Amino acid sequence: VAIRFDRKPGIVAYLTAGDPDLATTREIALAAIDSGADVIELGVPFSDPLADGPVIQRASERAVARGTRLTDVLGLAKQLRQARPGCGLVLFSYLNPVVRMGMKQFCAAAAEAGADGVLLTDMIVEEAGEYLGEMEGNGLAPIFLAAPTSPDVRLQSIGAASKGFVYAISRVGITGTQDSVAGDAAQLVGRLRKCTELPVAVGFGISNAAHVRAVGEFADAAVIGSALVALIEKTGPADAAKAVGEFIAGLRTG
Amino acid sequence: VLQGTYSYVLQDDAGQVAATHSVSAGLDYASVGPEHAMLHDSGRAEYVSCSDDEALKATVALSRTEGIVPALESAHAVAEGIRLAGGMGKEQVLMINLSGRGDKDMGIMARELNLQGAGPRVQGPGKASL
Repeated sequence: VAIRFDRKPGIVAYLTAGDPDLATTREIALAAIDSGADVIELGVPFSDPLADGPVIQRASERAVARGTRLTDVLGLAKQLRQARPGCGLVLFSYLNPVVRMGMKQFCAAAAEAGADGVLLTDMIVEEAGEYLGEMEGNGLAPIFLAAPTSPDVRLQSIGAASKGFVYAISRVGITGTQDSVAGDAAQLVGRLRKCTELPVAVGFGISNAAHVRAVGEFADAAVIGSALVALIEKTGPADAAKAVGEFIAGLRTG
Repeated sequence: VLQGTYSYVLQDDAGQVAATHSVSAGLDYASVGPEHAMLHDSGRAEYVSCSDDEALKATVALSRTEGIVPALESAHAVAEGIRLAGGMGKEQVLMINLSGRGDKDMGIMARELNLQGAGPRVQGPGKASL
């Protein structure tokens, strides 16, 4: 598994694949990697992007409207793997497109594309038997979400089932930017440390260098999602890769 | 899997959930309760479809013949009952489960059936004037 956070804090960059189009997503992802992102979370757009705020909802709608499919995202993952053999690469999807393809087929295709791990937002550990078996069989890291509302007994299940890293949700609610990192996040990471040795990445509302620095005080990595997607929305296709590269480079220097 | 429930979902072959429409708010959803999926798979229940128009016609028929105004969701079952009854004998008994009352749907019925005094299209129940 190539998911590593050598620099602290690590940076996980979420991108909605196919927004504005697959070729531009490829350029943006490469710029993100070259500017210091340790892991790319390549997002499969979905008609019902649960837990996402308006920014990622809009990106998902645009990408779905363009006809971006799970198979396209797998193809893009393969291109990224070929272009940057050492980068951490996680396929991020909602469960339904994966169920539609077939869990077995999806996990095999994800491994074939060169992904290191998979994050299925609405896959819960209690129902993950088949998924975990297929992930194991294909040498892939299953990444689960842990929330401030998750009781310790669930955090233990999440820690035991996860590989690569655990994704700690910084607050109750949906994705999107906020002014400061909620105190819930530090407390959740503290509880997770008792359940797992894996690195912990904090996401939801992490949108600037100050947030990344704050997360670095108690976690191993910060997940940047809506801030990148909003930047891409604002910048337009021609300049998006350059803008994202500069933004990511600035996250550790602020 | 839609909104946390594993069941039958209206979707395309890439797993994107389809947009839906129904005159009945309670049926305007791209999935069904998993209990229905189980009853369908086990063969214990047979599921059929019904158009908005058929449901509205059934609403009027039950209201006029029995003085019972069904909810628009239940009216779909009434429509199927009327259809089935056409092929049954007088001595046979057919039971329809009316799962809800139509007073909650008066605004929609007034609009859809062009009843006198129908108010403009409104959001939510309880605002239409009859």
